[in-house]
Amino acid sequence: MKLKGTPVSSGIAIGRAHLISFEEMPIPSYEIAETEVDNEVSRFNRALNLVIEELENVKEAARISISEESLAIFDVHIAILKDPTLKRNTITRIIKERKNAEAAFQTSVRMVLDILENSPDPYFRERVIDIKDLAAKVQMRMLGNHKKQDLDISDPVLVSSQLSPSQTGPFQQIVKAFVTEHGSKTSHTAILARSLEIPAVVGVTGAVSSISQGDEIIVDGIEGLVFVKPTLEEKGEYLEKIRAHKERREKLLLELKKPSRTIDGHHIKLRCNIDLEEELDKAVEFGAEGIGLYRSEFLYLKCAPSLPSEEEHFEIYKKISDSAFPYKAVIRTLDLGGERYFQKHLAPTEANPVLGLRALRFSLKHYDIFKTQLRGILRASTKKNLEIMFPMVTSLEDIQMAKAVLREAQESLKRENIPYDEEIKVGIMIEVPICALNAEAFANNVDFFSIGTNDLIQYLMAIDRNNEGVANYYDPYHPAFLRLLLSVASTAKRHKIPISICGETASDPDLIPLFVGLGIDEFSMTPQAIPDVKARIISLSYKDCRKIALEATKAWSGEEVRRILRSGKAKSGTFLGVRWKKRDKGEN
Amino acid sequence: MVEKDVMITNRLGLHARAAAKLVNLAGKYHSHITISTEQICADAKSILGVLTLAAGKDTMVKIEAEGPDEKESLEAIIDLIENKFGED
Repeated sequence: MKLKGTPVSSGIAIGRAHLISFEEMPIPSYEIAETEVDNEVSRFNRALNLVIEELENVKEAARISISEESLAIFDVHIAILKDPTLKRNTITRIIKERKNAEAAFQTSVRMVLDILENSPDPYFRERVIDIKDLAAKVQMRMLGNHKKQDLDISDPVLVSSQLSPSQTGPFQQIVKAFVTEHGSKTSHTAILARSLEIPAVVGVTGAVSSISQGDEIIVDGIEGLVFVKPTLEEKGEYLEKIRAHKERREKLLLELKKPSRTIDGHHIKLRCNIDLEEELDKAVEFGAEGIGLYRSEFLYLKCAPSLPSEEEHFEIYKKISDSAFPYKAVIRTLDLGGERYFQKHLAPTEANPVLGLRALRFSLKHYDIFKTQLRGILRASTKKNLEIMFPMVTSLEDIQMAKAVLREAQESLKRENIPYDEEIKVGIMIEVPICALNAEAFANNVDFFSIGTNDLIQYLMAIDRNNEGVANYYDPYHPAFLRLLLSVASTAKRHKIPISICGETASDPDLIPLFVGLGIDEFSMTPQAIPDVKARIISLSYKDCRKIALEATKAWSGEEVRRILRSGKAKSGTFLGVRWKKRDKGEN
Repeated sequence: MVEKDVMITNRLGLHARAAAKLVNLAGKYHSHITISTEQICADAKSILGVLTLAAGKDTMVKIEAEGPDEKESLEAIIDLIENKFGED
């Protein structure tokens, strides 16, 4: 059987399916305060209504292609979710027993399952699977993450409706590929898969229901195909593809020995984004000039439900500093929020977390957590190659407050006679439009800029990057976005402070000529993207990039920018090798 | 309150799809409606309740309705069951 989805991390893998389902999902259970009751109830209702809405949309979409009889199964599922008893029981448990929404819902579901599982009729016993699946969907909506799981399958391919970073994290040593029903190119599953250098296909409709535990599976992360129980021919074809892929990879690795310069001698610095300390070796192997972004929230995820101690902070930052030396390493302070909510007391549920108390705003409200992290960074900074970066900066006051906390951390270390880098550089992520538009003000107050393109595009275009329904609006080629980048880059140049891009777009070789042309000459990306990006850079002429990028900023639409790039390719020949993506089909 | 006994006559009995139809229909009325076998009494607006009846073909069930539109709701539900849920 062949399933289709969106390829989000390239490569090919053959393995066995490991389904992550409700049964294996540890559900957090804790007492809530009386003041939290309303919040928990609405959290449950919201999750439930979202899943119902999703199912109704799927049903409408399926109406044209499947029979009336098959459509009825959606009605069954919707009726189960709308079931007044299930809903009432859950809410009663939240109110009377003071249970969190997840635990209250699980107990209520369990009661129903007990009755059905004991039914003498096999037909009713089968409904257990449907209910578990639906319950899992609701739990997924309520939970940001869950904990370690044991694996008894070799070469596991994780199959789930949706995966969160903390779910995928524990599997990083052994997992061969990811297959999910939801997600998009910029969701965290995709980003993590790319950083682990394993294939991932998302948006695979029906993956959970049509794949069984232990099925042999081929995941083609290039074409977005998933073969369930492949035929001998299919398997043979893919074994050959794996061999060819490996060969090409080895050739690219040879290119890495060349310096990262355009043909007219413009030096472009390539650095790595790191989530896990295991990736440090890869950064060195791929010839990165340092670490451009260490996402420290992964340390918090690892330590959850408790907080990392100063010592734990220090240890990881020290390793990063040593590994990057003599190059620099940028530590980004906690960027918690949005979909990365993982700890009840750290991140109370917000109606709109992406616009809520997250990242630096959160750190400033939690002085102790913030100061512990800053002390950890400072103590590890004795090699003078660490830099501190604050995420989600929107106001100058925030920077001044953050720097004040940093000064306090420095003074407390001084009093204790603990050495640290007194000239440690402090920079900001530019990922909110207001910050990009006000870059001039920040340039006087910080040592460097780094542009987080995922969030900047998300906030510019009002696109939830985890919502596949609007993913087609995501357009990093949009000239308004390019104009904003040009303005920030020019400001940085004028103030002589370094500027880099550390978003996912930095690992897209097709966008690199535009970014280089706009005046950005440092990029930080997932380690395995470096070979492709470097191969592109050494074929570029900076002069041509500049010309084309400036022309692109005068365009009105992403389509027009892509046309300009294509004609540039024809004229100069330096854009050879541009692989035009599917979205361009049907143009011309 | 009104009530009536009715026999489940469709081949598959009160299975999931039939139950969904029953629940959707019951949900359109304001009255409190129950469906019961000899052992269990379930809320007719709750699919999980209806499923737990595990009522197969040739099971006799009792429908009870109480509320502003009890008569219409009872009639509609009896109709649905007697028409074998539009199946067979």
